[in-house]
Amino acid sequence: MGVILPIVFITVSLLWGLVPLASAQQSVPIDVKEPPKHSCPAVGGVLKVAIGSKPNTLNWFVAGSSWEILVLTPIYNRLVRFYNGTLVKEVAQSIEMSPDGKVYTIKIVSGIKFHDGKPLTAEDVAFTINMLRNSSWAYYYGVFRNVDRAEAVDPTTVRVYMKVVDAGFVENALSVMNIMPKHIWEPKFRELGDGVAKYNPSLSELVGSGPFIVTEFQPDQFISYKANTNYWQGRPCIDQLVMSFIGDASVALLALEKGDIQTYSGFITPEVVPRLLSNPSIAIHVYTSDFYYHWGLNNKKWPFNITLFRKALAYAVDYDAIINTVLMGYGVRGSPGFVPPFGVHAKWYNPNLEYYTYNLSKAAEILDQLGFKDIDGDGWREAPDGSKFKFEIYPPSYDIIRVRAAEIIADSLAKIPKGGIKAEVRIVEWATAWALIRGGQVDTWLLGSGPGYDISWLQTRFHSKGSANWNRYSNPEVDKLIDQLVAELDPNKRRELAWKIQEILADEVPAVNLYYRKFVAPYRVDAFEGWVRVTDDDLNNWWNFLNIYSKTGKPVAPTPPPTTPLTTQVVTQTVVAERTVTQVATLTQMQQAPSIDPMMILMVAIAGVVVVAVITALLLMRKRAS
Amino acid sequence: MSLASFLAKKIVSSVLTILAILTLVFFLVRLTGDPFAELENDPRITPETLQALRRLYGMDKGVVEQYISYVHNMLIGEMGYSVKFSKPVFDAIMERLPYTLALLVPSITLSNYLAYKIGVEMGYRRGSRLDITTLALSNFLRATPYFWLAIIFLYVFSVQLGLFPLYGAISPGLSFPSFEWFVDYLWHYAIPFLVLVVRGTFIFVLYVRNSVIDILGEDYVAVARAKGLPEKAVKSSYVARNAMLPMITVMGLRYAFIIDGAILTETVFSYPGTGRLVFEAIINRDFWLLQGVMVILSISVVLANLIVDLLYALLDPRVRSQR
Repeated sequence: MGVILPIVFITVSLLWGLVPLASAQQSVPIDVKEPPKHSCPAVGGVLKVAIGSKPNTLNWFVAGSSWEILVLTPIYNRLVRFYNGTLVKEVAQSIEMSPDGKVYTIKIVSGIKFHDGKPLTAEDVAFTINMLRNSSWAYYYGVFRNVDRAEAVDPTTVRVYMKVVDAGFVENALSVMNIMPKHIWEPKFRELGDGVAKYNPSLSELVGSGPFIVTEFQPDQFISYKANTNYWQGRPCIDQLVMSFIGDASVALLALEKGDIQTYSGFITPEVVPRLLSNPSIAIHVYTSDFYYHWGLNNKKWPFNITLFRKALAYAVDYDAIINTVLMGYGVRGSPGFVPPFGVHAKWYNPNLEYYTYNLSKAAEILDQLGFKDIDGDGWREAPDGSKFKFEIYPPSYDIIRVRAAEIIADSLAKIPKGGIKAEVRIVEWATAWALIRGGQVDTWLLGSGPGYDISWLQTRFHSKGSANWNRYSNPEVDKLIDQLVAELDPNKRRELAWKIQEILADEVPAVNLYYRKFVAPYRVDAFEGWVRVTDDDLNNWWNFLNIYSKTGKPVAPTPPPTTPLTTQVVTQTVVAERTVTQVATLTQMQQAPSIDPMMILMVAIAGVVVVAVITALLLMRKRAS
Repeated sequence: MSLASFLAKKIVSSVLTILAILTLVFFLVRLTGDPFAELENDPRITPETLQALRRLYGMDKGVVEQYISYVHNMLIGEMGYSVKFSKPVFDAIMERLPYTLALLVPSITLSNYLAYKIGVEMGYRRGSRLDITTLALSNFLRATPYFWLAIIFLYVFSVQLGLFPLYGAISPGLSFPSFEWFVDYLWHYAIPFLVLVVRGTFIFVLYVRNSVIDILGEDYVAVARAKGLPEKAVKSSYVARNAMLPMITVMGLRYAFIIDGAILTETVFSYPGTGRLVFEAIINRDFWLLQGVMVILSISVVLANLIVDLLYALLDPRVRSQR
């Protein structure tokens, strides 16, 4: 007996020591940063915010609109999350990948509890991944389809086995995956099968492990939450959060000016910025969306199948006019390689690309060379065979920005020296146009497309077999590079490939990338503090919901300073907001009467005058008649 | 023709109309496009997901097969599932219909009543100060965009005077059947109701006025006056009552379109209701939701027509005696 125990002890400790050694040799840790910590100078208060549209479903498995995803965000935790373009840890403590890229081992934080008191374990994580992988109707199925299965090895370890190597798995899939409680959803899947796609969870089933607990949901009106005071990362500073759904932006701005809401997510036209800034309690946050708005070209149709012709078009676009006049400065020039130069995408962006300039004589030169010349002297260039030449541009009728941009493009094309190119802007209902674009029946169009988090999104858009390659671009070299990019695991090699692909795209112009849009998010600074302004999102986001505190809340005894306080994050957008302020300084001075809007008074006055005038005229007419 | 056979005839034709509408709706909504087309430009959506969704909503089957199951389901009162709401169409409608009914039935009734009362006075006293002022206001209100009027009301009553809330139908945190809830509900209800009543009244007042003016020119009014009837009796029994007849059709049909809701009211006041539901069903090509609301809409139009016809028969002996 006395001998066996030490032998067992030694064997076990030897083996134990070998485990990390073996895994250290085999696995590649995925680089995920520490999350910013939040601290509450004061607690309490109700934060009321508004969003520009309403969620239609609270079932996260099918939630697809950004509003639906947003209202579910405060309830659930994720393994990892994007913060200002960087991947940071949340429930995951570490993620390791096997050298062949086929197995991910995820260690999770222990001791996390769901709102109903049940522990969050590896079982829940594995369950969520498996359900997404097995439900092809789920909104996020696409990013999980390369998964073979996920297994809970022990309560804090999950192993994900891949069918094929997917270098973007962590960024594309894990960063968007809310961890769903197995004890609630497994019975639903067993009972309803695919019917879960049409299932609406009740409030008591909206259980997560996140910082907020849903207390009330009124369809079309609001959703309200109370703080999860036992939240494992430290309680949120506010007691309650109410998100109202206000579809009409002008009403939302009235509510903001009145102080009924603290911030608003929804489209706000830049024209109102001066009026908002004239109120000292309101500030503006400007953020950039990564959707690339481009002039789509049907690469299968003549003459758009000629690379030089597409280049000529790229030279004939007045990019500055579109950004400065149509977007009123709220835009960033579109990269010819399509990868946005900011946010999550910055690390893939090739900064050496040469941007096309607005150069009509260069366009004319190329067109001459291709044989597009004005033969009959009517001011328009004819096709090389002498026949009349024109094409169509389809902007969506609902987006006035793109309609105007299309008109600017058509205008510049007409001004090409030695004969213009005739382009007709066709403003049609988008569903009709979209069907034509998908069917490859139209020449050109204006489309906004979202890139995925990981650079592998180039595959869907520019691979000849890409599922969203609406431009019908096909280049065997690009296909080969994209195939390599998707299968490659070494980040440095991937960047090289991504840069090379962007170079080719910039040179061949499968479509003319026009702009990325900047949006305005107004917020009040008088009642709450601790606003976190990230460059790629408005102010209704996870970080704000955790970090915002009421100025009238109950002060909390100062705690040791956190390692990376949220509020010190540098936000580049401030500069833009300030520039906007100076640009409109004169206007602002004219509008110093803060609470009453002079435009509104003017409109009421005009209306009043009209009514009085009409009544008087009618009364006079009656007098004359009698 | 007895009232019973009149009724029977009307009911049979109503049922036939509804069946015809069911068919028409089914094919019309399918001409508008594809409910899943919007997802195609979403980088996260794969062709497999689109396929799975189409299968879930029965769009993988042939049109004839879909039509048969649609008619069958409608007959047993099953409206299917909405794509946009991922829930039964019936639930999506029922979540909103109470708000719409509570807002529109009283506002339509009150504005009909006011329009009738004021219109009779206007027609009766043509050229008076009342007539001309109301006429001008009415023309002005008809010409103003609705949302502008609504925002002016909001601006004056909610922002400047601070009397009413800017958005929503109830405040968070109130339990439904309670006095507080009801007070809060009325507080939110006031401005949308007021705008609807004001606009409804001033629009329909013109119909009544013109109808009254027509009737004043009729021989039987002259006869009644010649008989020496007091002017009060002429007004109430001869003019006002006869002026009501054409109004019943116009004003009665306002109730039929209730499910269409007051879409602008709902948008500006962020008020829940079926109006935006119908609008969204159309723009999202949510076939099943659209079918559901169109069927309810057509049934209510047919029903309202039936009731109007019956009221006619009650009010106007000539209709009953027609063969």
